[in-house]
Amino acid sequence: MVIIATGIIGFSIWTYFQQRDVAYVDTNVLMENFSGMKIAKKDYEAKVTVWKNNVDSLMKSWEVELKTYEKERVSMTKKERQLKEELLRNKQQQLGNYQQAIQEKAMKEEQIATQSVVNQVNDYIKEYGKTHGYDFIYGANGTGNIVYANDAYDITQDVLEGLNKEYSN
Amino acid sequence: MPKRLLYLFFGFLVLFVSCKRSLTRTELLEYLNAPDNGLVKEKQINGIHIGLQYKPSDLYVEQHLRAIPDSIRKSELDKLKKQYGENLYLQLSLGKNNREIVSSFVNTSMHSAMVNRLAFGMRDFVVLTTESRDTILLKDYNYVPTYGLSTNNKILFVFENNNLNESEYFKFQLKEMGLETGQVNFKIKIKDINSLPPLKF
Repeated sequence: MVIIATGIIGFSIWTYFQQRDVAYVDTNVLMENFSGMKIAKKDYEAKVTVWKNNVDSLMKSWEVELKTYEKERVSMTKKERQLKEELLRNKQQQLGNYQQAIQEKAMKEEQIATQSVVNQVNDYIKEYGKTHGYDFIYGANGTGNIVYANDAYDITQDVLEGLNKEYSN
Repeated sequence: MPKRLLYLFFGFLVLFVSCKRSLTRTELLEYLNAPDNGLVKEKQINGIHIGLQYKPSDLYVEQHLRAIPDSIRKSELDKLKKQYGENLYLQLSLGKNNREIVSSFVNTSMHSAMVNRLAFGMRDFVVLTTESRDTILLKDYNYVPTYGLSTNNKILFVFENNNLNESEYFKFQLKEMGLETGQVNFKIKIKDINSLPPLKF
């Protein structure tokens, strides 16, 4: 009787510890291959291209204005030249400010787009961990705390499949 | 005979287990605030605290009943339950460093924009979808300013309560609204809502 009871308790403890599981995901692989990241990247690039084209066309129009001035400056009076040069300088400065604002906007946009993707991935991993009974899921990215881990603990592909499936649904 | 008794015993047992005990308002609020019950979700992103809580319509029925004379309370109960039951109530809370989110923008150019957004513009930043990605109609929302006296700003959203039982969960999406959190999603399971004990009236 005692032996059976000990056996049952021992088996329960063993099962309990078996369930306390750890795993890791390669975050670089996950982020690179997650459909949500690919789409976010594409959307971001499309936006940046439009902004860049705006800046380029403004720059081009300023260059044309400068060239025209250089051609016509000989026939201008001193006052006209001074006025035109001041106008061109102002435009150049405004263009520089606009360019800088666009760069900052692009950086912010990228940061927000990435954060949205990170939020989705974190939500999924959390849910995955709970449903699969994991105690810890580590994120390995090549520069983090995990220097070595047995491949048997790598759940990247399984997580990636589930994540992409959830994203496409 | 003993077999019949056994069936009777199990019948009562099933009935006893399946009956949900009604809760007082305080007990119900305690139940709602317990994260294990799945009706309150919280996230911390870039220092911003974002919370979402399901609010059962019973809470608003009870609140409404308190403003009604005792003599007609009983007769009004069913009508009010039906009226409030048509809606799904979700409360979003936003804070930073244990202060209202609006307070963190004081003395910046974003302050008035954020107040304006919370009061009038949240329709553009919130989407509720079912498991099959059907959008649930946002009927209305309410932001009550607390003038820096709370630890977070609260906005109550009122959605149409239709066809939700056919879904396993619903997803509340808070789009990027100037807090640099990116899009934040919360999932609330329908089974957690269905397990909610009723309020004692």
